[in-house]
Amino acid sequence: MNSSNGMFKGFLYRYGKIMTAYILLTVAVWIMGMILLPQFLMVDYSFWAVDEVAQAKAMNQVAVLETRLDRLDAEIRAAQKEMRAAGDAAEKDRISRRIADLERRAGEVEAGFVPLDKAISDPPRAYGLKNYAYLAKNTLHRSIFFKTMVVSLTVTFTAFLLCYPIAYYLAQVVNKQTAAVVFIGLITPYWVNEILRTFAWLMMLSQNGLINIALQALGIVDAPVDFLNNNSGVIIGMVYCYVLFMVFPIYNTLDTLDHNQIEAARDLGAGWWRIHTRIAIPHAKPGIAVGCIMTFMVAAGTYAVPSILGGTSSLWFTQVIYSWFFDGGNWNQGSAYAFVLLVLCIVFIMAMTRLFKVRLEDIAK
Amino acid sequence: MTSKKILSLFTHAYVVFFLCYMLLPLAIMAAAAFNKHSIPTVMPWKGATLEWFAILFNDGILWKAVVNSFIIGAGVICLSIPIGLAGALFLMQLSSKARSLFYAVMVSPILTPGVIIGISTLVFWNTFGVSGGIFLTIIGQTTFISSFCMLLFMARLQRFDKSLEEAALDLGASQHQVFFRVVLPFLRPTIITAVGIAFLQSFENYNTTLFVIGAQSTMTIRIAGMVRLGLTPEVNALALIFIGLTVTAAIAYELKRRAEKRRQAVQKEAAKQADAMAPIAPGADMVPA
Repeated sequence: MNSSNGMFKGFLYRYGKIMTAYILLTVAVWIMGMILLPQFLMVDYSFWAVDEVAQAKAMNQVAVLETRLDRLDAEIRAAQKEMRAAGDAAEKDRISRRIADLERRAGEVEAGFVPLDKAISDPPRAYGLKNYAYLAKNTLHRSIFFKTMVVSLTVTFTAFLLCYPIAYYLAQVVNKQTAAVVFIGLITPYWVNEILRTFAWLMMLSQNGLINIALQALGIVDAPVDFLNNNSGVIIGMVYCYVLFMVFPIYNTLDTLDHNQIEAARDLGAGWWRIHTRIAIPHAKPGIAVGCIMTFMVAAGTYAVPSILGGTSSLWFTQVIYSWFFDGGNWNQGSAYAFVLLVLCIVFIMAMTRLFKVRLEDIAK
Repeated sequence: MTSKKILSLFTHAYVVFFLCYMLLPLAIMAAAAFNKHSIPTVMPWKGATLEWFAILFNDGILWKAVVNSFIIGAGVICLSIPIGLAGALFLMQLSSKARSLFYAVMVSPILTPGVIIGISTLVFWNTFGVSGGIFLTIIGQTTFISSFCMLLFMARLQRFDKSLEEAALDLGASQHQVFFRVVLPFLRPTIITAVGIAFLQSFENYNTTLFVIGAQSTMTIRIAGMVRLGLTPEVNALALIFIGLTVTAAIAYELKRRAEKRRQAVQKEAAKQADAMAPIAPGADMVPA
């Protein structure tokens, strides 16, 4: 209490009343209204399902009430007919009293619809693990989930293998002028829309794309390779789209490595393999961790690349989530799947920070 | 020595290969914009044409989506810059323990897959009866773009000399004056950078937007639709324009950077000469470069 009071005073001293109000209010709205509450609500969604038993019961009752109402309506119409045919005033009076009674009963029946309608349009919620159990039991969805995980790991590892030499080259081998030119070559594709980058690879990898033409012309394959329906298209496209998430963090850490250390190691007789495994890679650890986290996260969480390069027979987990929301109309199920994806990413982040002994603070630099 | 040479040759060859890997697909995509063939390809080449550009400029649906993208981008800038700035100012004032906790929460949107930000935004606003559209897209994108802006502001504020603020306060400036006359001018370059980055992030976002855009469309959403459902080289024409803009911007940036460097070098040289010629001279900047 005391420390938060002191903190508040510090804010007032430094920023004044109006600025303090702006800062605290804006941060509160952002954290609560945009980050935490939406996430909590999504998790909440994932733990309940529409109580189908209660909903079906309500629908049955509605049907019962409807027949009862129909019968009453028929009786009222019959009575009205009798009324028109009736001769003396006493009989008319008797019939009109009967109609009034029937109408009262019809009104009662109609009132009975109100709670039932609510039970159907806003059905009762049954909390439980039903949505998660569904994922565990559905073999197709389960295999898509594991495939997403394995392929994302493959993409991450491939990107690391491809990017480490480039990052090392830029940070330690060439002068700044050349590095700047290479950087432009690397950044240019990154500024082009992700969809267009992926489309460029669709042109390369399709049945009569450039790679298949080249492979056939060189006599390596007889028939065109179907890159799009095995996972290779997705892997190639993702590595292409996300390499920069790997290059930059590794470059940033390698850039701080004193080149004299490498010279010293070389003078003392270390070969290039030892220089990398004992000096450069240990130094670049935080960068490697960050690169792997970012690459894995965007790979596992992307919708764009697999939807373009994935073909129809290799769905991605995000595509399953999407179809729960917009084709299946079951947001609860979709939220459960989304939460599973989020947990996967969190587990990966935690594993990497442990493995490479970096802190979250270092990540976003 | 020779093994070193081979290694160096190998490294250079690899870099060239890597650059080809990055740039060749884009070059081919751009080249296909001029092919008469009705599907996007460079082989077979059926002759050069500008027809696809004409089709692109007359594509009303696409241009409407582009307008939406600009509206959303403007909205995201208007929200994420103030939020990111407030977040950075907030964190700078916290003790280190509280700071790491809040920091983790405030950068978490960057580390969360975009689809999940889209879903949580959709679910949250649905309880208030707001369904997908331009408004929700602005909100969803702002959630994580604010984190990027915050990081930019924090990096800049870490280099801020606090004694400037203290001095201004001591000399009787109100906190308001300090903020608007000292802190904000110091942050100006970062604000410009943040505006640019926020806009680019918003403009090219797909994964979050997909879940919150509803029946509306943005340019990226529209392109994805064109790519997935039967397409013509119109997309290639658009890609060529994008690549042209990017390359121009990159070259302009690099030229500007080099000119800046040269200017600084010249200034340094002039200062050195001035020092050498007149060690007690009042100002080196009086000497013409």
